[in-house]
Amino acid sequence: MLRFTYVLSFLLCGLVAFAQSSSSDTEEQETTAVKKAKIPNDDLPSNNGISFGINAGTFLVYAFEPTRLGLEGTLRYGFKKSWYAMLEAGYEQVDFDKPKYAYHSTATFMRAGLDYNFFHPDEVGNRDNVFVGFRYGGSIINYDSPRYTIEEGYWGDYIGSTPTTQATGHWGEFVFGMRTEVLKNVYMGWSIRLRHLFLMQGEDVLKPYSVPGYGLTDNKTNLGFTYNLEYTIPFNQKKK
Amino acid sequence: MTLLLMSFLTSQCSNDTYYLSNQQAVQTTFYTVHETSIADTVMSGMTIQGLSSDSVIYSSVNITDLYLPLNLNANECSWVLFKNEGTEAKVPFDTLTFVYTKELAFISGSNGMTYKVHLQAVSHQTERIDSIHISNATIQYNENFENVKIYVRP
Repeated sequence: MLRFTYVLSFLLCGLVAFAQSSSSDTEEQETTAVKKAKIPNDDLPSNNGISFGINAGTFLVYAFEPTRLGLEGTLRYGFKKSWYAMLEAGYEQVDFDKPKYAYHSTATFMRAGLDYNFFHPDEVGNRDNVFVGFRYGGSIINYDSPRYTIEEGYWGDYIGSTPTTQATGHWGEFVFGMRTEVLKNVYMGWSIRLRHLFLMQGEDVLKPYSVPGYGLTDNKTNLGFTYNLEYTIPFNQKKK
Repeated sequence: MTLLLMSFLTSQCSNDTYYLSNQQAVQTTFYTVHETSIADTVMSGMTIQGLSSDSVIYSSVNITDLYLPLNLNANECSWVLFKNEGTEAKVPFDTLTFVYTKELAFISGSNGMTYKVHLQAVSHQTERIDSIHISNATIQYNENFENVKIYVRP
């Protein structure tokens, strides 16, 4: 619940900020249009360049679920006025060692897609973004359960283990988020993501506990969250 | 829900009945087949135990619904049904055999794993049972559905 409230508050703040900026800029639209027409590289993003970042949200997951340790990096490239090519990759390790079972998995994942920025403030030096986008995600998971017990009171408990298995997961994401420049070329932003797992392969013995980059496998659709810190190497940026 | 279920069975079973699980147990309901209709029926004086087991799971109880756990160390198991008839106790009534497959699955990180069970077939041996119908072949953790209908002759 706390997590949901946190996400919701970010969402509302973003929408309010966007609304305020849009209304205050309305009167200046005509003069801005004239100014824009004079800028030669107007079709490039205002923050054109390559950005490297990390998703600090993975550390939040670890804080809530210490059995899941992950790391995720982001690569962003602005190639049109409002478009960004996105590449996200990461690693996750899950370890359970409980009286009734043990489970261990290591996995890598990659997501690729596009973001569309629909926030173009006329304020000088403002390079903030509000964006929607989509991703295709894929993950390879190696996992095993060296021991597990399923309690059964009449016939007797079942005690077993599973061999090391490799499974793959494929999913799609719809993304909504925003980011803001907090220091020169340093950005902070968040996104919420609606994910749908459309294919799992190789999980015949046991479905893995989680698909990194997607989330827990108990639902085919889930909601995700990222909190990114990015550094942009600028080049050929539009002058504002 | 589990507590309600436990109190329900506790009220219906004797002290010999010690087992209850809705995890890998088949929920079975008895119906009586009349000439023109089918109705729920209460089976009186039933005693039930696993084949090749000395422990009874129900002892001289009046029941409509049964919860019969499955042997997870095998892919089939049988239950022997006895019935009190007149002054005679524990008269063999029939034997039910369940054939099934199992699918390992996580319940959650804290609760570990369980088996999702898929019933393949249920058979009986005498003509005191008219027929058996699998109404819901999948038995999942924490779900409480009728899985098998047993139609008995009046």
